[in-house]
Amino acid sequence: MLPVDLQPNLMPPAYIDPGTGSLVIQVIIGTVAGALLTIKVFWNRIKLFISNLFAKNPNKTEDDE
Amino acid sequence: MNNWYSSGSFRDPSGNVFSQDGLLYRQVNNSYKDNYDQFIESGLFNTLIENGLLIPHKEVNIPSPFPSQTYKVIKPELIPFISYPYEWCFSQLKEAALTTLKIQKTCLSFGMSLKDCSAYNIQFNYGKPVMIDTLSFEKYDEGKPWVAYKQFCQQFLAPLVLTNYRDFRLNHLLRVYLDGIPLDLVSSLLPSYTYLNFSLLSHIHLHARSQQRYSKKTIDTKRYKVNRQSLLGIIESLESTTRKLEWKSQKTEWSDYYTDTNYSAQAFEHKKKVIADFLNKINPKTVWDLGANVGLFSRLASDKGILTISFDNDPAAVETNYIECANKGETNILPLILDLTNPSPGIGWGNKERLSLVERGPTDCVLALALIHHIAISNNVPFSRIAEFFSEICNSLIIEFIPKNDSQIQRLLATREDIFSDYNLQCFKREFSKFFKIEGSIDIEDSQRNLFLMRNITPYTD
Repeated sequence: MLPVDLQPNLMPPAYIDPGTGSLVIQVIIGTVAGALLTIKVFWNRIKLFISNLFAKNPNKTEDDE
Repeated sequence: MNNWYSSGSFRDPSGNVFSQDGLLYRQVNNSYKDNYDQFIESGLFNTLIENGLLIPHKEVNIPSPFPSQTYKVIKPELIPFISYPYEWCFSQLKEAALTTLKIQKTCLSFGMSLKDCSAYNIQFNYGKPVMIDTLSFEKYDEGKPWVAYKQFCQQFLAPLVLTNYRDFRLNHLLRVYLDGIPLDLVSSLLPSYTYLNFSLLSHIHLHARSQQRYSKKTIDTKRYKVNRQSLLGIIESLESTTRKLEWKSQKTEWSDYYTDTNYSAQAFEHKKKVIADFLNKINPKTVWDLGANVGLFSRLASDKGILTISFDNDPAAVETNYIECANKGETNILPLILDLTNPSPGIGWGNKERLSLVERGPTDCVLALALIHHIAISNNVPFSRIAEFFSEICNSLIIEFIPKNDSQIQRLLATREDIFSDYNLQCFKREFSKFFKIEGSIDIEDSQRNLFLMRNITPYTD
């Protein structure tokens, strides 16, 4: 495997200056924001599962009740 | 062949905009070939077009001014009037920010990413914000941080949070800082309680500290990786932060204008009828309504299908105007903030990167309704100068003259000496006749006001 520095296109030069400080802070913010997003997606799935569990069976008609 | 390069598209080596025989094209350079091909072949281009997020273009077979560099030439749909972020109201800037984030999210699902996030890449077309830079897309490499993150925070988030937490007038900083408002300045201007808001703490305050800390350090940036989920988390966070920012209604000088006027319903209706008749006579393709307030009279033009730029100096009035456009889905009207006594100048490199108001004209017709007394009396601009300026920006002029005994003018003179002996109908007609031919003059019923239809003595041609 090539050393990171020689891997093609891993970090092509940007034509705007991304800013070293802006790149570094993204790692920290991204870790927290990414975790929050994962929790949010997981929580939404739990909510959907529970709401489906208690929802009326749509195939059930009034005559069946 | 008449060629020129756009003075605002020289920074990106991927290509640039040029004009040939009056038509606008974008040159795609060989260096951008791989990205351009992926952009088209991945389906990202079609998806963005279908969702109204990108300006459509067609590939054309015409020679570019530099054929050896050129991979392709594309002809984008023309935006009829270019506006700039420092001319937008709060909600326009917010919509432009949300559109940019929506584009970035779409990009990631197609294995691409925005390589810049300039607010100048967004324009209002048929009432909606669209991306106009077709060459802003690059292949997304897993682990690579978002190179445009800083630009998004400085160009979009910064002015929006300053408006939300401080004052909309700080939006003028966008005119000073073309690459966006420096985050250390934003951080120092925001109230200290914003440190308690996680989004603002991270995207503004800590971001600013990090920029300062690493400003003179050389580090191996390749060590810093942001995985896909983290990047999506950042975009999600920026999106929810932007959505929560609101325009806080501030009572401004003009916010009660139409409920605080001094003329009757009869005069108001007659004024609308005369303006509509004048517009029918001129039959313009474009109208600039100067001092439009919330755009009531602008809509006499835009409702006829005429592209109308509805300028006002009051951000609250422009905000109200834009919200009405957005709610009604109006496509022919563009509200913008403009101080007519200090209109947008040419700025950026060589004073040509962003065009002045005059350079974006002329327009077929200017509406100057209940306006010139403010310029002449509040700002001491003589009629001769006003007439000269209007002759530089339009072919036809619908202008209202308000006599000095009108209560609106008496209010302007209440706190100052009346040094305006030339402010009368005779002088007004004499000075404007030097630049315009007066074709119509109607007294507004139940008022002392007059409406004039004037034609430029030396009209502009396309």
